[in-house]
Amino acid sequence: MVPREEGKAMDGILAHKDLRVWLGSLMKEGRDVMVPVERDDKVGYEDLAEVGDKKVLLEFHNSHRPPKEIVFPQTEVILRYKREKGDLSIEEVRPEMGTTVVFGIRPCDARGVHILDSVFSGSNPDPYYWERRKKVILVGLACKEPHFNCFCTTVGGSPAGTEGLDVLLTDIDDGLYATSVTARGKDLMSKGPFKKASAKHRKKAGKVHEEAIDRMARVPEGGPKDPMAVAQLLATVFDDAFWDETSKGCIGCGACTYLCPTCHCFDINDEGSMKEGRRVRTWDSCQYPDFTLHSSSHNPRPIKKHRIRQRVYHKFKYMPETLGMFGCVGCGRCITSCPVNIDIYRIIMDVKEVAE
Amino acid sequence: MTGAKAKAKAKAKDDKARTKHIQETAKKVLEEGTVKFVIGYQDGTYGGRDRPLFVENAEDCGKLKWGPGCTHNLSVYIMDDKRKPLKRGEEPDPRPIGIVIKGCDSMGIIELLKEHIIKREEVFLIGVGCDGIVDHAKLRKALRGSMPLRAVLDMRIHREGDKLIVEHGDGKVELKMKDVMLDKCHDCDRHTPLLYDVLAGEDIDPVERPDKETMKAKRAAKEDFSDVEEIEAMSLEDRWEYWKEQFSKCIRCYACRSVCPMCYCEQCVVDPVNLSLRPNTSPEEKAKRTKWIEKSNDLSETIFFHITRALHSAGRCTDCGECERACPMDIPLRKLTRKLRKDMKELFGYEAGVDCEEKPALATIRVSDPEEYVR
Repeated sequence: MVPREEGKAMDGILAHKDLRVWLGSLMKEGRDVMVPVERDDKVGYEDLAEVGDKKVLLEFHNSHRPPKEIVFPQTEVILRYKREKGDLSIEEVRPEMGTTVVFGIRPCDARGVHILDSVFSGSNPDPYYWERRKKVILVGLACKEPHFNCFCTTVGGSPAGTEGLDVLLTDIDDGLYATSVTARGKDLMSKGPFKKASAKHRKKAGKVHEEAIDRMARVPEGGPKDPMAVAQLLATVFDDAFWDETSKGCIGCGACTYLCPTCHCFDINDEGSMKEGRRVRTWDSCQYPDFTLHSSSHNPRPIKKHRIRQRVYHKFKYMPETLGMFGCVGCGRCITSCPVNIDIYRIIMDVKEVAE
Repeated sequence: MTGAKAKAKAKAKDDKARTKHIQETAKKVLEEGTVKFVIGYQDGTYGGRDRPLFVENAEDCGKLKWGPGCTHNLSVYIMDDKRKPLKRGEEPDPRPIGIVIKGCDSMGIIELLKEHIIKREEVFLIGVGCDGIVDHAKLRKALRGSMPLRAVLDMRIHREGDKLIVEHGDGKVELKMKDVMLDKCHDCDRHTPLLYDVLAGEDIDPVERPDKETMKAKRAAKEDFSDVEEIEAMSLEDRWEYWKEQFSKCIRCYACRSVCPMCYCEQCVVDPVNLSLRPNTSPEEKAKRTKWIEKSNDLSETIFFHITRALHSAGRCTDCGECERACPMDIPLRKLTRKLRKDMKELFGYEAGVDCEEKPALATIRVSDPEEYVR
């Protein structure tokens, strides 16, 4: 896990004009700095060293794709093999990554990384994940205006949440008000021309956070959901016809999975010939029909109803039970990207009625 | 009544009449028990969009609707039902599926009939005349600044003549349909479905198969392929750079494949396993299966997938445009499939989805087929 705060948190204020100065100093010390920029009408995180004169965004809803691929890439080589003159050599491949600062990550996506930290920990921590994760420092940007499909507060998050973050920035008219969350974050702040923050700055930042919550279109009906309460509720409706109705429209693509900040299922395949090749880990989706297809041809999740139900249960029951937290951060990307308007927020809200 | 007259009449009707007729027809066939269920459209959960609805009970027909948000090509769900695993001892239900069909969708159904993957008696087509479907990305761009973002969640849209009316909590916005329509709708020559059992909102007798006049007109029509020609005009190097950039965006979610009614293969080039696995499939057969495309999203694998899918669409794709709409990365997929459509039209005078009696293009050889490759 990323070490939590040692000692008191630090705050400060960075003038807007000094943002590039700070990011530049971070780069000068050998770090890669990823920043949100716009390309083809979409926001994505790109290396500051390569964005040219593209503007580093402070006004945007969220990146089109979550930055989870920085710690968990879609395609990752984990070993290579070669057969020469009858001898087989196997080379284990470990990620090579420099210290990377992700600037402008949203609290929901940082919370997503925090959840992935939990998933890839345990008695057998994933070495590929952690080799990257330990090098990644997250500098979050509090949301000013949530997207109409956002619902972070419903799942216990916030537009100004700090889970997973090293620093939280809030854009106020005087500049970027910053609070350190971890020792790494404090250290990062010391590299930039941050000035002492005043009570006025703190108040303004607080107001931004409150306004963002007020502007949320999808409010948690009945308050933020408690993971264990939802898990218990779902336990009672597993066989309900509700899942037939909900899943009929699904076309079984993987858009929801691949745009989700917390989805982490993967497949491992060998690519190559008898002579040489590589073993590759790739993202996979439980929404694909072959995800649970056995070699015997039996499929424990043969129809879409089973797979949609699985997606909901994994995020809203199994993960709360095994990790103590929802496997969903309410970023809304699955809702926006679903070609047939499957809406996981509505499913969770409607399940309560089904149970009654 | 001929196709052209039906087309004119369809344009004149309003969406309310069509909605009412769809609801009444669905109610009737469900009450009579002549269909298994009806697939149509209902209100979506945000942004004024619609989403598919599967109705099994006559009393739920009130949720069915018709409007400018009815984007989806519902014929993609036919194969799901056909391949539904049955319980032990359960006999397949021989009744047809009721399905609401637009002009573009109807052409896909005709293509499925041509390929004999479905039979005519397996579908009960509730055709509906269409005056254009909203492109939600264009709509949201057009609405920027005119309403608070949170109001987008519950906004409602409907068409009045050539206007799109957007109603939200704080007011109303009027837009021109042509400014927010899907690209594919601009040159539409299939406002009325080519095949239907009932035409919603009309009192016209059902047409058993597309009438000769409509088919003749369609074949003779010169299709605007300027979007394809723009790419054809590029040098090979520029074209390669263009497609490399587009395909680098691909996340291999396969939304394009999943949403396409013509992509019904259980053995797909892209799947690492054969989905038509049976209990008696031999180990040799499983081991021998060729892996055409790797799961890793290296550019070469991704490009191979897209080119293969485009080639497999030749003579079959009816340009319903769903692949491009479904793509979460906004890759211009129609440019690829339409290139194949252009080739089919120019080389063979063939257009997919027009005539049920016609044989599939790639299953037909004619003496007159061009043979420039034979030197």
